[in-house]
Parts: sequence; C-alpha cells; structure tokens
Amino acid sequence: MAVTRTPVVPNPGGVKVDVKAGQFLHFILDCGGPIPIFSFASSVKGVLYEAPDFPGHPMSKYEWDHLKNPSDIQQLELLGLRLAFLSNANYTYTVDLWGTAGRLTTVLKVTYAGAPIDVTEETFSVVIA
Amino acid sequence: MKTQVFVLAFVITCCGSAGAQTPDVCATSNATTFDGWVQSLIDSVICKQQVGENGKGSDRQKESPSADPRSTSLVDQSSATDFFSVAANVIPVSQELSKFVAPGTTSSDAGASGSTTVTATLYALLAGFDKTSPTDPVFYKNHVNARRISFTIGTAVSTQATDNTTTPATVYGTKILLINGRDLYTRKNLDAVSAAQKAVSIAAATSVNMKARVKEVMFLTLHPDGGEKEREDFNLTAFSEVNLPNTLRALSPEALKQIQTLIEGFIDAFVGERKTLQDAYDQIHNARQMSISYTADIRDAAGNNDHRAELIFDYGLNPRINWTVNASADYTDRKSAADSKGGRFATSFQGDLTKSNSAWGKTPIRLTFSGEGKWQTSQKPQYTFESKLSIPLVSGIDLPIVYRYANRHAQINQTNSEARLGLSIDISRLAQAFK
Repeated sequence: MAVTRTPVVPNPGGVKVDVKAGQFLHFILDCGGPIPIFSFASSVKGVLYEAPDFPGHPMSKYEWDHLKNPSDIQQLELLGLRLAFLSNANYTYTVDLWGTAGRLTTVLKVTYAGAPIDVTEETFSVVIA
Repeated sequence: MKTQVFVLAFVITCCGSAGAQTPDVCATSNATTFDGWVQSLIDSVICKQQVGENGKGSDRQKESPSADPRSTSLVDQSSATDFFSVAANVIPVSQELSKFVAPGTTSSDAGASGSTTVTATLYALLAGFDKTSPTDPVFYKNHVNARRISFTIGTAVSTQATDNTTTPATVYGTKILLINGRDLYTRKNLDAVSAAQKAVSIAAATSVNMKARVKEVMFLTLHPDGGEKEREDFNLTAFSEVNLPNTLRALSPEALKQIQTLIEGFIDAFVGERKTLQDAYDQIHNARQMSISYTADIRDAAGNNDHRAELIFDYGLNPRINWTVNASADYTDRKSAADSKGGRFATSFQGDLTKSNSAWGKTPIRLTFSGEGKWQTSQKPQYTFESKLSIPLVSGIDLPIVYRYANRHAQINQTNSEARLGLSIDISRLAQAFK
C-alpha cells in the first residue's frame, strides 16, 4: 500500500452545513484515466454513487451534489469516497460548500497517486446546522 | 516451496509490529488523518490473515530493438512502452570494463560509437496530434487498436568487420500486437475491472459504517457524559489533521483495543476487496501477449543492410516474473559478398527484485537472464547469453547494466564477452514526475 496523498486543502474531519439556508456539498473527482474505480458512500444510506453510475463513464471528471435533496439530510452522517488505482493512477478529490449564491468555500482538496492494487479513502462527518 | 517462503517473508515484514494485542500507540500518534489511522489498523488485521503482494510489469520494452548491435536488450518484448520512450546505448564500456569482466580477451574496435532509438506507439502519436493527454479516459477507450502498433527509429553502430562500413545505420522498426491480453479493454479484463468496482463499493459501504462506529467509540471514551452538542463539536474538531494526534493520544489502551475488535468484525469486506484487486491485477499483468515486428538497419551504399522479421510472445509466469520468446528470420543484404540468411531463437526471463511504489513512480529493479541462438548461411552458429540489471535512477529514467557473452566475436562485434551500459527514458513517466 503506497498511495501518495497530497492535501491542497486538508480534510477538516467534520463539515457544518446549514441546509436551512440552502447550503449543500458539491463533489468533484478529477481522474488521470483510463478507467476510474471509485465509490461514494454514506454511513446512513450505504453506497450513493459509484463510477459506472455516471453517464459517459469512464471520464476525466465526475461531479455530484449532496444535501440538495431533503431526503439526504442526516445528522452526523459520515461520507466517504473510496478510490482504487487498478486502472487509474491519479485522482484529485475536491469538496466545495455551496450556498444559494454560489460556492462558499472549498472544504477539502486532495490529490492521490497509487499503484495498481492500492486503495484509499477520504471521509468526513456532516454536522447539520 | 519458494512461493511459501516468499509469502512467509512478506508476512513477517508486513506484520513486524502487528503481533501485539493492542494497536501500536506510537504508530497511532504518527497518523496524520483519521482515514490513514483506521487504514493502518485494517492493514494490521489483514496482515495477520496473510494476503499477497503487488508487483509491476516487466513486459514493457524501453530499450533499443535487439537487432541494434549496441542494444542492451538481447530479447525483444511483445509490447513497447505505453506511449513514448527513448533508449540510448551510449556508454563506451567495451575497453576497460570488458577486459575487467573477461580477462585475456582480445582487443576490440574502439571506434564504435553508441546508438539511440526512439519508440512511440501509434496511440501516443495520435494523442499528440489530437493534443490530448494519453491517459484521457475517453481517448484511451476509443483508441484501443492504436495501442497495438508502435514505431521505432534511430541509429545503430556499424563496424567495418561485420557491416562493411563504420557509418552508423539508420534503424527503422514497427511492431504489431496480435494478441494483447494485457489491454484493459478486452472483455475479460473489463470483467475484472467491473469485479474490482463491485468489491470497492462493498468496502466503501462497510468502511463508512465502521468508521462512524469508531468515531462514536472515541466520543464515548473521551466524553462519557457528553450530549448532542458535544458530539457535534467533537465530530467537527477532533478529526482535523491538526487535532487528530491529540485525539488519538487521549485514547486509553482499552479504547484502542475496543476499536481494533470493532474493525476485526468488519474485516471481510476489506480482505475481499484486496483479493479481488490482486486477482484482477494478476490476471491483467500475466496475460499473454504476442506480436510481430520488423526491424531494418539500413546503412550507406557500401554498408550491409540487416533485416529482421520477428514473432514475439510474452507470458507472465507470476506477478514478478515475465517470460519472453522470440523467433525471427534474419536477412543480411551484403554489398561486397554473398547475402546471408538465417533464423534466430531467443528467450528471456525478467524478474522484478523490488516493488514499485507508484504506477507513475520509479520502475522496480529488474534482473533479466537471456539466451539467443542464431543460425545463418555461410556462418557458424552463434550463441549469446546475457544478464542485465536495470536500475531505476528517477521516475522515467532507467540505467541498464549488461554483461553479455557470445561464442563468436561477430555476435557482439568485439570480444567474446563485454559489459554494456545504457539509458532508457520513458518520456510519459518522466513528464508525469514533473507535474
């Protein structure tokens, strides 16, 4: 296991989201190719998205939102993105906090490089304000 | 038996600190992220269950084709480098080093210059023309067959005795992969990737569930009387990269043991994921490859021209050892004597001595043993044996060190044994290192 993890914006471990004010999380995964393998999961709902769910997979960029839908909102939900490097050597994972007026801040941004059988994961807890 | 010894050695290395009843508190203090800390505990538990290990491909040819008399590669491999590589066989090692390794050999032609070849896949050229990254997923998916074809151009040394000129030859070559079992876009390999995705999803769902419980154990240990407000504050602050070391240091040995027991209860998903990834990697890495190639060394008007048509087969014996076989028809077009025709058979075993630390990082240290037999009209049979140690200098640049022995002088142009040094550069890998 030899994933090189380079934080650009370090993982805060926990993120406060004011859903009543229209805040939500926007996720971006940039991939080096050729076939990204990843899964985005919730401690409450299990797997929310995996790479083949996205139309056009395999792609160099995947984007999705969370907490826009009221049914997503769960206090102290742990969100995790799990990445495998079997057929994709490089990833950049970005999580932005958005409000009704646009992007408020970048919660975390991390780049990863790994060998074929490596896996890695990035998780954080969501605290609903 | 060797496999068992190897696995045992790996397990001993891997599990060096994993035999304790509770997690290593010193190790936990060094964790920079919560996920990294939990992963170290998962690794510790899995290590006890003896899982395999990784390797890295030894089938990619970055050296000059074997038809180049200065090449550091006696045996050609079925696939070229992924995208684009340069091989320079530049070091004039023939004199002193040859005498050192083979005392008593005769003097050789000191005027021989080095040789350099450049190899690119059709895929790399298309990506260049399209101004697209060669790792772009869509481009990669849409140009599977372009990865089957590669071209080589360069120069090769010429000697008066064998080539009737000292002017370097121009090397032209092409290689076509007929069977490409190691490409991701075969049905079998896509199935392996799909199985890997499924295993990763199972591990992801298991992991977030398990980590949420681990966080709860930590909260209840450190804040036994805490309410919802304290729990929210704890989750917002205790797991940041700044605060995590203090949070971990505050945990009691009993809490750590409780967390380890919790992880052991979820371990099957991670063991399954690791096995699936390893199996997928082995399947892709060890798959068969077969190619045909044509190489020509074209010299000036007085010089001889060498042509070689070749069938190349690669097979991964295990994740660290690749076996290659060459069978070729050779033709030498002589300007001042009868032409020479013949055949050649060569085989090699390439073994990785170390593991690579990244897909785009340095390649492993690689040891290769090769043998070649060459039979041509009007000549006695020529037999050559070679051992090569390829040492990665930095990501993308390897230094091959070669010792070659031949039963006849013509085979190596000089003495019946010599040492060679080269330099192989994988441009794509080098460029990635500077990103």
